Amino acid sequence: MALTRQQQKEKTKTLLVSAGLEIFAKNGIQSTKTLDIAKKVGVSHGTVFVHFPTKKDLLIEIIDGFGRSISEEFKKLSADAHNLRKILKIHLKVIEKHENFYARLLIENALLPGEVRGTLINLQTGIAYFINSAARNEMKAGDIQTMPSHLLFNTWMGLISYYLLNKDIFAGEKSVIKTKGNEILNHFLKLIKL
Amino acid sequence: MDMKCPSCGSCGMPMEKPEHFGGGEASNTHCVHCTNEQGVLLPYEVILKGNAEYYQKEQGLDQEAALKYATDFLGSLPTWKNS
Repeated sequence: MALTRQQQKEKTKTLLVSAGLEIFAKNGIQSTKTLDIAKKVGVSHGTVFVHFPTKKDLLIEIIDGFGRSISEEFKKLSADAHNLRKILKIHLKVIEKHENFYARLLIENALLPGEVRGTLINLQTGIAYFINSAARNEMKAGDIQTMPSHLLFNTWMGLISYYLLNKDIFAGEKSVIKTKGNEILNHFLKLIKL
Repeated sequence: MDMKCPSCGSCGMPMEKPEHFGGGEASNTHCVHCTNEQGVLLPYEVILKGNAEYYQKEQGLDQEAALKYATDFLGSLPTWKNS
């Protein structure tokens, strides 16, 4: 069945987001032009602007999509919503899905426009809230050491970021989260265990 | 077709359940955190401060940076984009 005009528009938007994810990850965010993304999808440069007036808007859409994926995954937890190990596993799973793009975000973080960085900080805070809420419960139950929430989250992020920033030396061409994720997770949980 | 659930025009929070919407009304374009009990949008300054404090509590951001990035983030959302 032929797509309606609206469906076609949504399809193009989805294709632009996928192409953006791939090209930003491969060539870098700063050095990618919206024209490169148009070429990849096979649409005119003007079509990109219809959906995303600037590269910044496309980046925000991609980060928003990342946020939605993780919130979808967290939602599936329901009864296990306070199980720190399961929450951290989901965090790794979603990062793994877009690992190369995520690593680019980390590398180019300081150079990103304020709105993009703000969107990323907002997303990270949402993730931190989930992780910290579970951790606060486990602290109360005496299962893990008591510490300020932000330090628990930042210690976790510090570990993941180090491996992502150096993914080539830890995993070569393979996914560093797939290769080292379990080791990182078990080590972190052992560190904070009471 | 866009299957995404609506998100708050003020803070971007996905609104999936009735209790996520301001005033519990699914027609509200703002979430429960950005509105009062009647579902009316709170002043910008209150939302900005709330967001910045949230960044500080969960991630330990510096106060000035938290305010800067909360301002930048809110500025990208429909409710505050042109204000």
